[in-house]
Amino acid sequence: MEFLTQTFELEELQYFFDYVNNGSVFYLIIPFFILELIRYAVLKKLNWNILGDSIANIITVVAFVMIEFTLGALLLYKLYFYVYEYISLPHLPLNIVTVTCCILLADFAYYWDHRVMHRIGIGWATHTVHHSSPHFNMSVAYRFGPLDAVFPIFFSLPIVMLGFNPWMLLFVELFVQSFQAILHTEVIGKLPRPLEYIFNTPSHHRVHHGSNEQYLDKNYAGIFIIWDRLLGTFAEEKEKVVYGITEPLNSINPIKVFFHGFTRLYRSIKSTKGFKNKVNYLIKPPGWEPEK
Amino acid sequence: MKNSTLLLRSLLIVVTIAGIPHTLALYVSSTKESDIAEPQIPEIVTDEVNEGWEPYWVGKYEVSFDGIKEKAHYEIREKSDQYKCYSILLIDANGNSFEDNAIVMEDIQITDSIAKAVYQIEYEGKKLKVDSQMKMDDEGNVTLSYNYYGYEGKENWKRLEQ
Repeated sequence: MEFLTQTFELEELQYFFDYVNNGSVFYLIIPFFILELIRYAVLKKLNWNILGDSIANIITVVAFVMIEFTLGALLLYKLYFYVYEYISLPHLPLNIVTVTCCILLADFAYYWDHRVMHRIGIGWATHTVHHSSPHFNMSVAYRFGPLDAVFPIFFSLPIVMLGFNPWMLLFVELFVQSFQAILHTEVIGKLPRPLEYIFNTPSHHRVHHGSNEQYLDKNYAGIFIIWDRLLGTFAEEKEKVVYGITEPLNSINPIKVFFHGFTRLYRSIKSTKGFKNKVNYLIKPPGWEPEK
Repeated sequence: MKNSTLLLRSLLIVVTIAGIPHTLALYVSSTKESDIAEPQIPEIVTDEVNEGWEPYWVGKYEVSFDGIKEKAHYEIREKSDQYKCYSILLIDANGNSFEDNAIVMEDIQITDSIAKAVYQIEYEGKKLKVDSQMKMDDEGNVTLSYNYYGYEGKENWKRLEQ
């Protein structure tokens, strides 16, 4: 029992998650991406499109991080700590139980944030960037849209209101993202059944990136696929996955990649008549069109 | 799946997961309350033992503040030869206790039974850092004093466990 309730310092938590979140880019992601490039070369699939697409992915993450830092410095830091100080349940101590439950909650919040981004027009305008690559490798994990950092706020603030330390939540959210990153690969096939049942795996995430009819809007999970199983959005990888979006982008221009969701949304809104229809483009699922 | 089912399942998941650490925190807090009701009485130390007494700072203390009914529990921890002090429990005037996890002294400089540290206190909502000095008696209890622009503060730290 003492093990469960033994408190530790925030710096210790930060040290651990820094090693896992930031460190993994160097000891896991980059070496794995090099392995994937070698695999492409061996399969004689390595071409300029894959390289250009990967470079575009890296450029989008730089833009994304700049937006996130600006947003964080100007607003989020104050907002999260205001909520933690004044609109929160009693603050929870930092112990192993709190961290474990925080990971579960952050992952569940990720599920809903992800599902909403897929199911409303304004969400899809930013998240479509991540799905628009016709390839599937580690670099795709870092392909972000302009507002990808905004939507999670609405889902993580309630966790702060439940008494979880905002810094711990930030570390844990980055951990969920880091776990997600390693799922973006074709190199790993299916894992043993118990793992496939509980955890999100490369196989489950390939399904999520598929534009095949039966794979659309499935497997939103971050770490635990059980959320999809419980909430009716799970699909097994059966037929070969066709990566990308139903209306392909066909570009490796990073600017076009980064903004294409919003330019498409803008065009749809501009070309439709009536205020209600324009608003509906923002809140209805992608593909929605006004009745004619 | 119906929206109402989605909502119910989601609420159940959130309440269950968030409920676990809160329940545990309540349990730990109530355990500590019973500790307060029957504080550990320091062993009676004979003069013979006192002759070989060596100050040992690491441990938990119940802190009384001059002229204030509220109390707190502090814990001095050592890590890599660095001593830090944390506030681990706050007790209001009615005896209700609340778990805490705030650092109050970053780096305590200890010389036998005397110690010095920058003490982080809160006064009228402002966080202040004041130089403080501590003296330990041969029963392991500590008297802390500080001076903040003419205001002299004094605290008695009663050792809870050795």
